Amino acid sequence: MLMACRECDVLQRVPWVPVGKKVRCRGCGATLYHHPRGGLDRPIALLFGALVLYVLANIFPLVTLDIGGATRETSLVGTAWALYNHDMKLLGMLVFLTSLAVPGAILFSTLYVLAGLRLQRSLPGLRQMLALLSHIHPWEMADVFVISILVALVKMSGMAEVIVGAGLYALIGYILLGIAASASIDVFVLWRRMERIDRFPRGQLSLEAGR
Amino acid sequence: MTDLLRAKSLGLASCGVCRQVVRLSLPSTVQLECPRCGGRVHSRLSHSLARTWALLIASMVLYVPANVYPVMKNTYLGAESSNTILSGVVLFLKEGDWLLAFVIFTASIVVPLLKMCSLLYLLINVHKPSVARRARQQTALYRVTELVGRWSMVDVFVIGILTALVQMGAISTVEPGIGAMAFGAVVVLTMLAAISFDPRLIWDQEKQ
Repeated sequence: MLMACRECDVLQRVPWVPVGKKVRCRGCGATLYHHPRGGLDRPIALLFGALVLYVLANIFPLVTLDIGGATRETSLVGTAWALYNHDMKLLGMLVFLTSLAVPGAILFSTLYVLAGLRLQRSLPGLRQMLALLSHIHPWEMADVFVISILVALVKMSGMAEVIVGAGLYALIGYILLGIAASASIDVFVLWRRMERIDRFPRGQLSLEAGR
Repeated sequence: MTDLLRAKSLGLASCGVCRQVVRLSLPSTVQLECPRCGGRVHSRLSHSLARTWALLIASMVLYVPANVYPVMKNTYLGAESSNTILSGVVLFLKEGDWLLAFVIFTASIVVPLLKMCSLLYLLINVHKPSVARRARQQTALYRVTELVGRWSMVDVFVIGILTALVQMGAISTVEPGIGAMAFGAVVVLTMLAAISFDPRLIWDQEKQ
């Protein structure tokens, strides 16, 4: 197949490499695509786990602060809400989007796309979802948020008792599973699978092509 | 390396979303819909340099209030104190928290400055003919710039978390300062600037 590097525009014929291998650009060395191990089942399993932990991270408090018996706790949405309520509406919205809404949207739409491809059905909006993923990806900052919690924890530990909540453990787990899932996904490979669904509707696809 | 052909020179372009290679109709500046994913296909991102310049200059302007004004106001047992980004780092150093000082210094000062400087460097040099080795270095610089940008949000998140937690009435409260708003804008603008820059422009001036 023919590919042009997104970084240096060199046109090249690239082979369909075996599972676990990646293809680099002849011009600049950028990765053109990689063929992830584990097919579609691995990212689906990982993302289902991530989904459960994402829900838990939103239900349980992340951190509780205790100053002489007076306690206060916060969650993901609570952090954005606090900024919103302190005359920082735009900043609150930015925190809401980057720490909660975009990670959630990426989780749901990736699962939807993977499910559609796994079932070999052209579910409504499948292409739009996959296209959306490439656009919103840079704005996902849940991992940055976790580092920020750790910084805040150390900062507060001197003046009050800090209790780490179940939500923080869930959030860390969600991020680790998310990293593992994105390592087993390549958007270019997903588009190739998408193309095959259109060409061969369900039933006509051989087992080999579905892997 | 001279046998490498650029897609543009053959009237082809690669879809930015799904990587499908598409033949451009003449004139080659006309935008085209990708037959596979329906996204727009550009040979080069439209007005890439003008947009990157505009966003970069806006972020540089906002970088001044982001550093001059306090990002956080803290009241502790009646005593008020406000901190800018830099004085926050100095405070960590005074308290002996070397690791935290390093994290905040890197995320809030080094990363934004590095991003602005490297984008400025790329914008200034993009029209100059360069050899392949140099173009490769510039592409690598761009890749790093795009990758590290999101980490400058650390400070904004920390301020949000402290604001949410430290509301203990007379004992201690934390309020976000106007500098935090400007800093958040700097992060968003530099990220948009990096996204608007088309690294393929670096290679258009390559010397054979």
